[in-house]
Amino acid sequence: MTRILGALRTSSTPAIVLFAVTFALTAVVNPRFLSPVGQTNFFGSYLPLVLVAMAMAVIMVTGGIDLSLGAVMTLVNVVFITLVGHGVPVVLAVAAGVLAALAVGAVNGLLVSAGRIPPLLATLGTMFVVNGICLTVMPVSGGSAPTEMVAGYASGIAYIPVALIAVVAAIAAWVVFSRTKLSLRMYAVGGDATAAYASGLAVPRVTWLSYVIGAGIASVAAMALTANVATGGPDIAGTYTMSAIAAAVIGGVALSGGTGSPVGAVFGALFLGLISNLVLSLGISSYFVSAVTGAVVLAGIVLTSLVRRDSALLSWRRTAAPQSPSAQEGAPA
Amino acid sequence: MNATADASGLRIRGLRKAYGAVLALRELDLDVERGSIHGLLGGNGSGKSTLAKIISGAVVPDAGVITLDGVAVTASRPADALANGIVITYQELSLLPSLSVRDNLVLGRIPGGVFRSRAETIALTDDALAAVGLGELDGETLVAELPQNVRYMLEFAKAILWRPRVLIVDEITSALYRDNVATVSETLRRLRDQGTAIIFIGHRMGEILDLCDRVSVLRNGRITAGFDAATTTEEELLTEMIGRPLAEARAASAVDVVADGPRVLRLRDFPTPAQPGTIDLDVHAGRVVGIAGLQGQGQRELLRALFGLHGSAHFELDGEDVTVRSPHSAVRRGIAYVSGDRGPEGTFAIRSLGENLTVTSDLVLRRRIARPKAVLESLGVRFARVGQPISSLSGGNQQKIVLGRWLATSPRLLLADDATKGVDVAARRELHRLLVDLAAEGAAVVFASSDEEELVEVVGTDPGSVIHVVYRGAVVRTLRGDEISVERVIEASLPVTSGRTPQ
Repeated sequence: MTRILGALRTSSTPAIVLFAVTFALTAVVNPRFLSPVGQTNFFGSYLPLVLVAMAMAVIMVTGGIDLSLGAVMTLVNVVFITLVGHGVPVVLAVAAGVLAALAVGAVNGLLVSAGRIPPLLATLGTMFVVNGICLTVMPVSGGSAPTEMVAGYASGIAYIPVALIAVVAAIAAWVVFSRTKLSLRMYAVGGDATAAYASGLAVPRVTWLSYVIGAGIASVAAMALTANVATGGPDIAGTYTMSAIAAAVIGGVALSGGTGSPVGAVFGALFLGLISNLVLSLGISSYFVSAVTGAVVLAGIVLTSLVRRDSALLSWRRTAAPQSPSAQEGAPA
Repeated sequence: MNATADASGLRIRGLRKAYGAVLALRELDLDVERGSIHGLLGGNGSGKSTLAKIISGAVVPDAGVITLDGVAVTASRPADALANGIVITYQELSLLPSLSVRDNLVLGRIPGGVFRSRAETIALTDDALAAVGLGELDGETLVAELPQNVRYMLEFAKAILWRPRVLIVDEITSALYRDNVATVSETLRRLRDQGTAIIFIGHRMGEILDLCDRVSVLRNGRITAGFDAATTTEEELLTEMIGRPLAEARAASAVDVVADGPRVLRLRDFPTPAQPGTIDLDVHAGRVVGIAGLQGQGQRELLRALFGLHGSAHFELDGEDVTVRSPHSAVRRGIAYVSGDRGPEGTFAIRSLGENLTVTSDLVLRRRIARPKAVLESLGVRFARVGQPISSLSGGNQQKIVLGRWLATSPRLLLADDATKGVDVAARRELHRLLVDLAAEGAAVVFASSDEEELVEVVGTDPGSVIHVVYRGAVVRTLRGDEISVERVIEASLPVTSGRTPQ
């Protein structure tokens, strides 16, 4: 029994609970929320955030952060819409967008790993550069995504929205990925880069890969966004960066790295979506929605931090008294 | 120590490493045979840690060759050394608390292809855990949940997983080792019998003689002698470490029998943070009291605790019971703390000399320093403008300003924690003069240093001079007046026999 309880007490648990409670609340307040249309709308609108939050979580787990992810999503969007507008086949347009994202991720990774530039500054810099590129590619919003893509995204299989299936697939993909060697190495590097280095890990390579993988996931998020909004724009995804960080933190991913799971970030993102939904269906003035959403998100972050308090205290003790071997004397060997 | 034609084992020739002007290793030669445990003994700053770091790839030597079974194995990063089967167990553990025991053990060489092989991981780690007597431990436990002494044994399990050809056990300050002596000894002997060349760096001579086959002594960055452990005595080793014959030991108490100036600091059963021992200590006005000991025996923690850096501390200051809750409250009670770690704990690198000098008196005590330029000059700082950033000065001049900052607060008690670390000789002298002058003006100074010669020089050998020697967080010996000498300080620092340790 204690074993089962122990398994439930993962870093993702608070976010899953928050999600479940808010989901039930939304269903009560807004009866149409549970309808196929309501569900399709909800998951369709928030799949991009779910994915980019996972991308952010992968990078944060490895000990970094990426402020350019929103800009990367925009880049994929404008490249794709522009190419499709010029009659390029959809498959090639997608490939071009993904490659552009991977290139930005590779540059971020190089700046942080080989260049030893703090992730916050390196990715802030690339964010501005990528924003500039987006404006050059597509100065004003416009263009349209292929209709089959838009229709497919909004459809469902046996009443289950495609976007919901995508969320489940994303979680499954992470579960598979978490069995790779690379995943363990990422957690090790994010937990303590020095100890990882002393253990023989190629720390710079792992760090670099985390940015490339993060950008790759962000490009999928961008395709979901494009299918949902059906158009392109030079600042279509700028706000996603901060939301992704918030979702990851609510999901139990520590800013300090090494703990938490992208699965938690998925539920953190869905929680953010539900809150916006709930506030809107409560009929609160749309001008005030942002403030209310922000306050609830803040409460969510505080709550999940409090739940993690015991493990946080543990790590605090460790840093406060690095040479405390004898304090443990008499403990069972 | 002749170079032999025999290619088997670890051969180190002409190893040299300098840190700035300081030579940590000079032309060091060492042979360690496969299937033997080789003890390394040496005092503070003898070069043991540098040697261990070079062999294990954490530090790159300036010159020298390392071969293992005739093949060059000089490594430029830990991963290379590990690939050659050269493994070090770190006493400042290399484990990741947020990962499970199994994940930690296999971290450097995770079994499997793209995906991890769970079956292989379990098989490997079960063997390694059993080998260090942790067969009962659940491999899925997070390391964060384990006590320190279990974590310490995990370091050995992790080392065994690499099938080490060379294993370096660095024990310098390890209180952990004592809790696990039997298991560690058994594990090391088994590895030796399997043909591993083991280098055991330690301090407790009795245990080293017991465990090791050969013992080498390091002094001033060189191996000065090698001994056959079976036929050597602790006395011989100690004499070799100090470089001179032993002085006779005398029992003494840290509590002053003769009082001089008024007593400023009085500690009774004061718990040393992160150490088992407690401290009894008196410091009188007008005195510089020395604190000696091997690195990591709690000297630093004691000083930091008195300055409120380890939470609330209760002690007697100027005859009053005081509680120091934080550095802020320590400063307001007239306590000053100068750390040798200038970068993180002393200077505000991009700020001016003037700002660095006046920060504490201006911002904490709201007492303006009228003429910072004159103060800087009186400190002997060589500078161009009061407004230049402190990072433009040499380490010695920076440290003079850090000390000057505290002198400006007119402290009752100044705690100097290896305050002259990494400072050139001339600046060191001037820092000493400033400390002695402060004492002469009626303050009490506690001067901790890992450099025995410096301690003796600063504290002196006058009738009232005192050096307390700390081991495992307790004063184990107090040297007074003409008993004070570099040799006696070193000798008192070393735990020669088990009878010396407190408890």
